[in-house]
Amino acid sequence: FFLNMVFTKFVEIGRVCMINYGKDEGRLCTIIDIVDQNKALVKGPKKLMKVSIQIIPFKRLNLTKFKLDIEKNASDDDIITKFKEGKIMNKWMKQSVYKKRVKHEIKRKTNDFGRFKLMNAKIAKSKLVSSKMKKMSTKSSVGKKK
Amino acid sequence: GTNMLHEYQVIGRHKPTADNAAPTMYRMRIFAPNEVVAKSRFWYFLSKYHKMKKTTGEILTVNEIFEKNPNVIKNFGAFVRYDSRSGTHNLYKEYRDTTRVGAVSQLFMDMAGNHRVRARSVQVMDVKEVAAKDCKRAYVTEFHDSNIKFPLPHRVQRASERRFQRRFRPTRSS
Repeated sequence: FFLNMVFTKFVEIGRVCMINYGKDEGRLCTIIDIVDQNKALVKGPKKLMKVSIQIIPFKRLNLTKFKLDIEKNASDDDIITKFKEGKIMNKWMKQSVYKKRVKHEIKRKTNDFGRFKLMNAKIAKSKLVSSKMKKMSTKSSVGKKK
Repeated sequence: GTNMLHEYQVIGRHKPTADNAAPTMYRMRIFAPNEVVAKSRFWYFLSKYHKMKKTTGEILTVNEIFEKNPNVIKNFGAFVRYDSRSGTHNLYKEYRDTTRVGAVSQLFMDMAGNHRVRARSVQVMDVKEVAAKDCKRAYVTEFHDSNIKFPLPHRVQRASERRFQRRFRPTRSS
């Protein structure tokens, strides 16, 4: 019985993972069985996550903190009900990992006009910041001279 | 993932002659990347057992055999005969995979890695699905735990696409 576990995310049946390589990149899947120390049998399920049942190496998985209480080789419906019960999708969308991916995706997809707008926004922001800094520093210097 | 290997059923017989209008048919299950290689291996094995070869025989059919249930992980026991540098030996190895074809792919990679044996020197004598309680190898039985659970300690984040994989990466030390 571990009171002070160093590891919190385990490879186990029911562990929800994010695929980080390949055509299903960014999608969640559930481990339904473990082949060996390098590979697991995984499925979305396809109806829910568009991830079909497949053997996938752990190198291509990021374990999330979510775990479903399912049996080995659980049916699609089982997994979907557990997903909905646990509100996994909502919780996942609040994770910073997910938010960062969305952010990166948006940034990657911006066109030249988008980057131009971004540049202007950055300049405006830094102008605001520097003018405030100037005000604060002149205030403090006035105070110090006294 | 997609397997490079396929399992074929090859049925062949000696060419029918005047004396023997219906020669015995022989069937083999061959693991090969394609039908061409499957037919070739069929003759390789058949000519070892019977007095016939490609020119004196005929192949009746080559059918691909697909896995009955590729969505469940099974244990496979493989009996292998291989030529090493100094002799020929038999081996029994076990693999966990969802398909026979996947297990045999693992077998070939395993033989190459552990015994430096090329596919040409490997003869897969038998591949049997083995129940979990009958498995002999520790590296397979250790995954038969129903409550199996382990962390991934040494996490190496890899590039999300192949084009971002670089052998030498710049260090941004400042």
